[in-house]
Amino acid sequence: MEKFAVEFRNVSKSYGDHPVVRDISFAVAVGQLVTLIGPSGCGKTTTLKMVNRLIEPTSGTLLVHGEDVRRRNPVELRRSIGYVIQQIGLFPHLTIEENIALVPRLNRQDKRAYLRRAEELLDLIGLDPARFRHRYPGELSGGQQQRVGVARALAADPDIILMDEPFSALDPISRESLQDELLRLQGTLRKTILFVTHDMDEAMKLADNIILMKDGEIVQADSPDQILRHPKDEFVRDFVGEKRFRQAAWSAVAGDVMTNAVTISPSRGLAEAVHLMGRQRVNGLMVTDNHQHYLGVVGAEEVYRNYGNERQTVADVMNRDLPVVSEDTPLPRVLAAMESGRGYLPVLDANRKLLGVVTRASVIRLVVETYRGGAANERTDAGVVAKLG
Amino acid sequence: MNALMQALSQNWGDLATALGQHLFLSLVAVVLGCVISVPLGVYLTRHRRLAGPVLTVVSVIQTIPSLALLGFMIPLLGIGTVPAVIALTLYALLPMVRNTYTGIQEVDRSLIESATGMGMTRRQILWMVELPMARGIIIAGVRTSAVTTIGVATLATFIGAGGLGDIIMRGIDMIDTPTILVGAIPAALLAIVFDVLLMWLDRWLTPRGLRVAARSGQRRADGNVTVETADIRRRGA
Ligand SMILES: Nc1ncnc2c1ncn2[C@@H]1O[C@H](COP(=O)(O)OP(=O)(O)OP(=O)(O)O)[C@@H](O)[C@H]1O
Ligand SMILES: [Mg+2]
Repeated sequence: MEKFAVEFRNVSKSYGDHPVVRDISFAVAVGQLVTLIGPSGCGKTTTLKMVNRLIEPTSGTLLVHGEDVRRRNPVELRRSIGYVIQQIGLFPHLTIEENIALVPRLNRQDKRAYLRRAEELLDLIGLDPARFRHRYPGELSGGQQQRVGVARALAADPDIILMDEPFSALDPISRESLQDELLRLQGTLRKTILFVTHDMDEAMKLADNIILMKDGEIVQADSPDQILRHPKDEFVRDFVGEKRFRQAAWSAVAGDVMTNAVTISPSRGLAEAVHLMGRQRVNGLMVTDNHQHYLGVVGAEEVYRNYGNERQTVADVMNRDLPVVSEDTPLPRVLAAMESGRGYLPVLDANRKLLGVVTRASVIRLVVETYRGGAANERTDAGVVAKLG
Repeated sequence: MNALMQALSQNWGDLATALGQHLFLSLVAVVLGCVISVPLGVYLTRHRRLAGPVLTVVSVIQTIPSLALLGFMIPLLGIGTVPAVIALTLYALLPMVRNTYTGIQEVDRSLIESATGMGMTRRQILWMVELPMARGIIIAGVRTSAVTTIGVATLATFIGAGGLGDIIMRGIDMIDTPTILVGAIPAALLAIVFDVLLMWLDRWLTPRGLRVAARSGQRRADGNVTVETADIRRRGA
């Protein structure tokens, strides 16, 4: 089998002398999910529709499984490619089952076979066949209708599926659940999917590769990870959004991951320190003076080593040599410092005032949020020192 | 009332013949009109440049007073059933052509797009999507045509094609209102009966899915579409 399911070679499209897509080239490997994203009117839909010949390119070559689409019969080509649109486009006068079975029926498949296929697909997309097969589209919610839209695109078992903003008309909850559903399906089916969206969260969540377009041209085509690491220019930075870069673990700084510190004053006794650690469920306390200046750290180690001596105060036992970082220390250096230290790091400003602490838990939380798609955006301040688990 | 019963019994024999002729004229005209209009309407949706001019011509035919239209037939085709049927057919075209054209034109673009994208041929899209979706509006056009044709057919008597117009004219000549009514009432009843029959046919043909969609407000009610020709001309251009 060829390596690429879809390949654009210097493809352009103009209406009159108005260019809409300009000399774009890219290839989609078999089994990949690629999102086309960009501002409204940048040519995403036009690009997509050239694949199944709903729109003919003005110049250039478009290959599907290595074959020039111009040599394919458009009707046959389209039947071998799934197509899902934003408006869903289910036929209101046909039942759900008839809608799903339409392409197999056009392909003159055996009736029993395509009805069984419809049932299978309803199961696959999580709609009970017994309840839904004989209903009409008007009797379904928007989210359910679009599930059926996806099932219909899968009916003839095409290996390429084109999706044009399929979830953008849905409410956020249905959208989220359909995205999860698509990822789940894609995990088992491994279709080649070209997916148009203008929602960067959606693109980041779903895509193996993102193609970012502007004015009919490709600005950058890369994996979500590479786009975050190496945005090509200002436009990409703007479009991806500054927040996502900040959230991304590799570009984060200590200030992004720090949480509030539990502090103690140097004149306190060790019993008090133990009590405070127990109550706040932390294994280290930041020692600060009345003006929040950092003096040192007392951890469980120091306290238990010296607990027998009732005279000693926090000031006597605290560790003054722990590495410290400033708010803008990049995360890799923070992690290195943490490894040589204790699993928590004080964050100080230029006047050695304590701003907070970085802990293993707060770093992990950031990484998780980044990969979950950045829904939890604000820096959490509930965490305290080494509050793991 | 007595006078009416008397007129009825006097004209009884003629009434059956006249009613038969009337039905025949109207049915043939509407069926012929249908056979011409629906394909013509479909053709216009495929060649929208022609839609404006063709619909204008068809509307102009309808603005000719019906009596004059029948009169025009005489020098061309003489008198009798054939010219009457032709005149009535011409007269029946407009509502059906217009409704077929707008009905198909108004099918949601996204349905056509997804149908094309799924690999349906033009013909399949017409039969499996456009006609079923436009059905209500097309039948509304047929109903309008049927009712008008049954009315206009009362004038067929002037070119010797018979029908209920014969009895009405006899009443007028005799200045006898009951006789006029013996011709006019069946004509009116006939129009109503046809209208109701076609309405039932429409209901019966409406797929359940469309009734569901109409109820949930996703689809405009199928009324009689009255799009001004000017409007259609603009769209066609
Ligand atoms: N049939 C057409 N004739 C002329 N111009 C067109 C036609 N179809 C699209 N365009 C223009 O081509 C450009 C790209 O359109 P396209 O639909 O591909 O944009 P898009 O990226 O999908 O935008 P959106 O996010 O709004 O869907 C737009 O400026 C649009 O106005
Ligand atoms: Mg678009």
